[in-house]
Parts: sequence; structure tokens; C-alpha cells
Amino acid sequence: MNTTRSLAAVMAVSMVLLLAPGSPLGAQEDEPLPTANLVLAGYGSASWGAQTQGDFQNDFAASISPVLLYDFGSDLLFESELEFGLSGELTTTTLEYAQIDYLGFERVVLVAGKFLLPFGVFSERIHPTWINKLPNAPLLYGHAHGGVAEGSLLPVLSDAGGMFRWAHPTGSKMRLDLSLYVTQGPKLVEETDGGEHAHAVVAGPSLGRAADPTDGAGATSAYDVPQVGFGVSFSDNNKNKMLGGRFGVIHGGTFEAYVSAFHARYDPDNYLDYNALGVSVEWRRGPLELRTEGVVVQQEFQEESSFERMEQPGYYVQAARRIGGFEPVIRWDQLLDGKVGSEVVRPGRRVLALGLNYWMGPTTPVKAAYEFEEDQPDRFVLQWAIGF
Amino acid sequence: MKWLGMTGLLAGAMVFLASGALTAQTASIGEGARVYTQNCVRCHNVRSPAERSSRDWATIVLHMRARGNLTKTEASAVRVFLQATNRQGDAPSAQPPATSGEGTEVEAGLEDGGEATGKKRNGTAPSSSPAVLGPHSRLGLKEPLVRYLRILSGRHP
Repeated sequence: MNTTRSLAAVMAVSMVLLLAPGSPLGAQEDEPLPTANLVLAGYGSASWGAQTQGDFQNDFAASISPVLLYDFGSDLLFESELEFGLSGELTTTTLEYAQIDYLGFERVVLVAGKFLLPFGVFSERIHPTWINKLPNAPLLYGHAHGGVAEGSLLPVLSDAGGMFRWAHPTGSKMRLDLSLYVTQGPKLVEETDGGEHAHAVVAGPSLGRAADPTDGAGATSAYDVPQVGFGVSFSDNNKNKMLGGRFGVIHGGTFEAYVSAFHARYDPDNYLDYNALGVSVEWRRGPLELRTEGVVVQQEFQEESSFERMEQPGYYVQAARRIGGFEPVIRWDQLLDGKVGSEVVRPGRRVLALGLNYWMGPTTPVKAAYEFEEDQPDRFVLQWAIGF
Repeated sequence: MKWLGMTGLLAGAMVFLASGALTAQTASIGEGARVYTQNCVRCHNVRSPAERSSRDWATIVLHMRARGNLTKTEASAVRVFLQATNRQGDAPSAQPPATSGEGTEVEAGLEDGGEATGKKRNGTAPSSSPAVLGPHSRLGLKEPLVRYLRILSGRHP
């Protein structure tokens, strides 16, 4: 056994040496950047939403998300994003990510810190307000208020840990894309604050919705499924770490498809699983863009002396087309019922959003959207976003 | 023994993943235009190279390499492309060297409904080619690139 471990240790050290800067398999020679550099980027938005049926209710919201980038030459980058939001009587502050990237390898990037998880596509790449083509996030990914999914299947996923990313071009257009990560994982969250967010028409940096899928759960089910949060603190509540990954195939700028998955345990006693599996497909041709994502979440929980498992799937389909400076958008969102066996513990939701954007510049959309949700008042949302 | 096998498998995988370094190419502007238009539009509208200084683009490209999962060669090509087409220009120390001597002219065209071909005109770089690509470079890049960037971003011509 000692020999085996020694051999394994030698191989591990060899791997590190092979990947090390200066190794023929590792870092490449590149023009050195002359000095370190700090860049301020980011995005911001101002929004107004109104409930157009029943009692008239309307809210303003605003947010700014400064992104700080600091490189130490061409191989090392520190990047972070803070999000400051204003909603009703609340100001929200979120550390979306704070990560160090090692970029010395040709095809591999190593990441440490708190980073956006490569689960699906929206959460990691599309959620900034100037990129998202509708004012609201899809039901799959509500916006993070402390990493808790309020009214959605998952929050925008951001967590602390380490990540390995690999890119493999296989031709002038085809490429393979792999990300593997280990993070703290979700943890049990007490149901305290956040209710006001979920019930506002405009609920912060990304707009929330009137309905909360946990509403009514108690009325339709005897089960009480606990709330979990991602990246809610830098202390882990158990010995388990979340393991996850995403694999994708990309063809030029026209097609990409990904499969994503993660596995974690979220309770202090390290018993209860929280798993998710997702598929994302995007296709674009000239001014037309089609995008769809589907996710299934499995959550175990303890009910008196037994363990139960809730399973809830969801998906969205979105189409957008540029016509000059305008861009009509349509999105169909659906969360199916969250069930334990055949019993519904989290009612599903269905939302149809019709939007029209006007692009004042490549990073400055003015977005108007009208949302229809089953058993909820219609909503109108106006949002002006800018990326900088 | 199982542990050894797993470690060997992992080592083999890591070596394979890293071995792409052996096929790395020197960054070129044409390649940069292709990578830029193929990958940036996967998430957002393309941004004008004139928005940022050359040094800032170098930092931002590192950020986008990590986010978009590009190779180091691809990211370098995008940086060279952005710096070459940047109207602002910077102190020479912040600029990359031109190219490696061939493919110094780029015809940026559109195919497949919006992808840049970044076709190179093969040839040896003239002796008068600027060592530093600034706003007045003679590469003939600026106008066609600005045109298609406007088209891609949906801005008015």
C-alpha cells in the first residue's frame, strides 16, 4: 500500500510539473504585459414594474454591479463583481464573485474563490441585465438574494471553491468545453427574510415576480420542504462539498449544447442530498437567436422519522430577433409541480413573456415586457440597462 | 491498486488536456477577428474595439477568456485584434508587436449570417509595417471591421 501511495504521489507531482509554467505542456510563451492593470467594468439598470390587473401596484428598482478586474500580467487575473440593488425599503448587497484565475496554460484555466457556477448558461453568462433579453430572469434562475431561490427553481448560482476549465478547439469552428468544480455547496436556510422580495412586482437587481412557488405549499401538502441557499456564507455547514460540472459542444457562433450536473448535501448532519441536472441548447443565425434550458432538481428532506425526496423540473424556451435597433422577444417559462411521489409539495408555474427591446447602443437596451402568469395578475415591466 | 489505476487515469487525462499547448499557434489578427465574432456573440452584442484602451483590452480579454473558456492562443489573438483595431491607441509599451510577419492584412467579411471570415492575404510584411499597431496603422482593418461590428451589433450604419 505504501508503494502504491508513493507511486501515486510521484505521479501527482509529475502532473503538477507538467502543468507548471515553463513546462512544454504547460504555460506558453506570450508577450508579457508591461504592468499590472486595474479595469472597472460592470452594468447597471433602472426598472419599473406594474401589476396591470386587480389592485394596481407598481415598484421602481435600480441596481449597479461594478466589476473589478486586476491582472498581474498575462497569466494571473483577479476579478470580482459586487451587486448593489435598491428595492422598496431594502438595499441589497451581494458579492456575486471574487475569484483568482490562473491563465498560464494553453487550454486550461484554474479558478479559486467565489465564482459563478457553470451550471446551464443563463446563470453564469446571461444574467447581467444588459445581456438578458428580458427584464426578468427565467423561472429556472431567479435572481440571488443571498443565494436563495425566491420564487424560482434555483438562484443565480455562485459559490466558493475551486474550478478547472478546459477548452478544446477541434477545428476552425467546433470546440469542446468542460468545467469541473468543487465548492462549499448549498446549506439550509432559515425562512426569515426575503418575503418582501418575492411579493414585489419589481424585486431588485433582477426583477422578481408576484408569485412564490412555496406559497400554498402548506395548503396542498403536509410536507415542509426546507429552503436551501448557495454561497450564503463562507463557512460550510457540513463536511460535504458540492461536486459539479458542465460539458458542452460548440459550433462557431451558431450552435452550442451543454449538459450540467451537480451533487451536494445541504444539512448540518450531512445526510440530505441536493442534486440538479440541466441541459442547455442555443442556436443563432444572423439576427435570430433561439435558446432553451431544462433543469431537474432533486432535494431530500427529513419528515419526522423518514427521508423524502422532492423532484421538480422546469424549462424555458426563448426566441429573439433583431430588426434594426429593435428586438422582439418571446419566452415561455414553466416550472412543473415539485412532487414527493405523486403528492404536489411545490405548485408549478407558467409564465409567457412578450418583450420588445430597443438597443440604443450595443450595450444599452431599453426593454419593455408584458408577462402573463397563470392565476396571477398580468405584469408590465420596463427596464433600462447599460453595460460598461 | 485501484487507487493507482485511478491516479494513472487522472494523470493521463491531465496530460492530454494540457497537451494542447503543443499545438498552440502564434496569435494573428485574422484569427482574432474570427474568434472574436464567433465567441463574443454567444452571450452578447459585440463591442467596439474603440471602447477601451489597448491595455484595458488586455485585462478584459483575460476576464473573457476565463468566462468564455477560450484557449490562450485564441485569447491572445482576440487581444491582438482588439488592440489593432482600437482607435484610441496607447503608449507603445502597452501595445503588442504587430504580427509574426505574415498575414498582416485582413479582410473581415461576413458569412453564415454574421460570422467573420477574417481572411488573410498571405504575404510578407512590408519593411515599413509598424512594429506597434496604433490608430494610424496601415493594415486596412479599421473601416471594414467597424462596418461589420456595426452590422453585428445592430447599430445603424
